[in-house]
Amino acid sequence: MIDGHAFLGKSIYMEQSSDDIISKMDNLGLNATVVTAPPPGPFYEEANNLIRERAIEFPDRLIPIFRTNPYLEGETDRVRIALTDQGFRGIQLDPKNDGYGVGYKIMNPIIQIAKDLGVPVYIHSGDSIFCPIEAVADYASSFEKVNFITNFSQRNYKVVMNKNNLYLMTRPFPTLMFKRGNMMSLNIDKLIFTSDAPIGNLELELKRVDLSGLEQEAKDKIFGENLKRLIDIH
Amino acid sequence: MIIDAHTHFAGEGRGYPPNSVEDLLCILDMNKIEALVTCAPYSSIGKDRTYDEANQFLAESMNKAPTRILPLVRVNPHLKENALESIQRFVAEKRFYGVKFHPRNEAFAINSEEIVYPIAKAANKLRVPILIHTGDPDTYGFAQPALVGDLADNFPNLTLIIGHMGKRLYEDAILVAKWFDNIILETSFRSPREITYAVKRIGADRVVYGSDMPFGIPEIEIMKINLCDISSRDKEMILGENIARILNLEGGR
Repeated sequence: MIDGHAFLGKSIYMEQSSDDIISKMDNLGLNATVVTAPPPGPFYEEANNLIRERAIEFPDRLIPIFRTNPYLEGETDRVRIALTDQGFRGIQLDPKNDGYGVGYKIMNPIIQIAKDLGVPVYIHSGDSIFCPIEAVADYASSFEKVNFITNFSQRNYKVVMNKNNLYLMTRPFPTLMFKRGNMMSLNIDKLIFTSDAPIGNLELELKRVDLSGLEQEAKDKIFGENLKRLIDIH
Repeated sequence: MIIDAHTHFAGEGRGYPPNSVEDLLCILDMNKIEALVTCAPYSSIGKDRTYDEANQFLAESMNKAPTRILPLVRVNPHLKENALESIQRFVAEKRFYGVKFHPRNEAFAINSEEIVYPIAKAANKLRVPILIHTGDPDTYGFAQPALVGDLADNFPNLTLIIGHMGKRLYEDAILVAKWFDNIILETSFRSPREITYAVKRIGADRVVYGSDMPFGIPEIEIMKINLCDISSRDKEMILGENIARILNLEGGR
């Protein structure tokens, strides 16, 4: 079982250590967690370094994602080095916190690197005019060889379902949609279990899955199989 | 003691379970919920745009389990006379516990002097609270929690419960609750982190647990309170004691 998105480090918004994450995984039966630095930026060098160090310390448990701000000069070089030499296995973009709209041209060189190296791109979406989920879906169409992972939207999740290269993080897990059988348009193959801890709560999200009534086969996909198609997990 | 301060119940044929009082009580028992505050969902609005039938259904449901089903009368403020008549009929005569309105569903501003103030005045006179749906900043601002502050300012003796704690606008909800002590925050759909933050800003005595069942899941919403970084005493107050005090349940209403 894998948590597909959590924050590791300290910022003005949140704090979570590698010990916190490992301890929760052990208590709740998870094998690994995808970790990225917490917002806000604009600079993430120290935060990314911490992620790298902790991922080296816990190589089988923490899967590091490089948080990048495309406004920064020289950022494409840093992204390439992070992915080729430092063990990072994907990219995190956060238009809301770094102040650009999904689809701005400054994103393109970064996405091109993801395409060249075959790594996924997490894009925060949903609660800002900078990043509605529709804009992410539209942007994903222009990079069909890149896999994008974005936030679940109760109202607009359908825009994702016909995009082969766009996946949804599940927090908050849509328990009632499954429980009431309203998931004809919700493709299990497109869902990736995420806690977003410490903003979200891992225990709570696991409970939501538990109450959803999903078959084990579906849970297996959501808890790891889908993600393993996108990201290099040892 | 757990009392759910925000639920909806309409019975069979209204699109959402549970379909009967028996099923509803079964859910309460499963979750160790002593009682629930409930009101009609939007799906039960009549062709005449009133909630008369749905309110009557709740009156009959309350009669079957009077200590466990605590209804609020749902009104459509645009229908001014009907709204006031409903409050008279269901709160004054049938002993409902308060009023519920939904600014997004019925499309009106929470602080409308023309259509909301008369309702606030009636609730104030009867000394019952009003539960107000909030959130949805994208729907022309009808349901912004900040507007509850305006109402609270003009009716300082009226208890106003901000449903869903303002959703994404939870910071606004917490701020107006801090400024006006007749405002209470209801927790459905908020995270443990946000509820904890609210408690630290305004105190646990001004926060009430709600699930918004059937749109939320009581088991999950109760779990959120238990996951909050607050004292056990705070949790007890939020899970039931506060709403019991607000509804004067101990006073034998």
